[in-house]
Amino acid sequence: MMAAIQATLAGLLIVAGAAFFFIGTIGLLRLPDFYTRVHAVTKCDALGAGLVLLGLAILAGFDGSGIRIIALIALVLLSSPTAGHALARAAWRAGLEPWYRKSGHVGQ
Amino acid sequence: MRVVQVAAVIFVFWLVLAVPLAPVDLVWGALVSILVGFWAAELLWADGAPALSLRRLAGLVIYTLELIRSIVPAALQVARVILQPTMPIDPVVIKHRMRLNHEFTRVALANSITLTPGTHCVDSENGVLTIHCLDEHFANPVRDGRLEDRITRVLQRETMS
Repeated sequence: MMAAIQATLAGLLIVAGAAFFFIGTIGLLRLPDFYTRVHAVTKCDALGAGLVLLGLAILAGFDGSGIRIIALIALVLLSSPTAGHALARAAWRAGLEPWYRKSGHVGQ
Repeated sequence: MRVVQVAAVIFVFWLVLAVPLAPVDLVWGALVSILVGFWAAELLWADGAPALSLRRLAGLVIYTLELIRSIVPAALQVARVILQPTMPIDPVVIKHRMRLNHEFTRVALANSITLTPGTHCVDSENGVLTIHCLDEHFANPVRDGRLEDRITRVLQRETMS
């Protein structure tokens, strides 16, 4: 019984995480410019990775490897915005202009 | 000295991830930690190691939990935008002068902004943040200082002293 609940909960979390990865990827394809894409990837992928890892931690049980996976979640959540920031800053300093709705050159 | 401190932190984190292991692995882990420490000491702790008090550690844990809580609505909001056929975005870039005056809390603020719905930190220079917003109104929690107040509450207390 306990194992079934554990597996169901873990499965739901992993599927939800995968869904966020999927949506983030759609965003990567649909959004009009680099900066808006960074929005999609940092947020959706960080949450997606967090959910998948949480599911795995539940599957592993909260002993040795479960705790290690929790540490990884913290690392992903702290490093993902940092990586997104580094990307956006590099683009900004290189002089890449953001897309604006008014300026006319609407995406594809 | 700074290299040793950085290497120690890296080594401990690696231990958490890698235990249980053979003695040979410990030696390799220590060697790699020192190598990475050499490189990271210049970047991470240029002004010396931060003093780690119990209160600051507690603040860091609370901050991480708040970060986790804020990322869920942020991801949901950006997902909603992506999945709408019309993609209702009207991006703006704003500048925000920070009241926070420590590197540590400024980094925390930038991270929080990036994980808050619709805002993404682009640049930080002389205490002014450049922030890309998916829409004008997403900038409100930044503009009215709500985010900064929260960080001050959690982290600034003892960094002031």
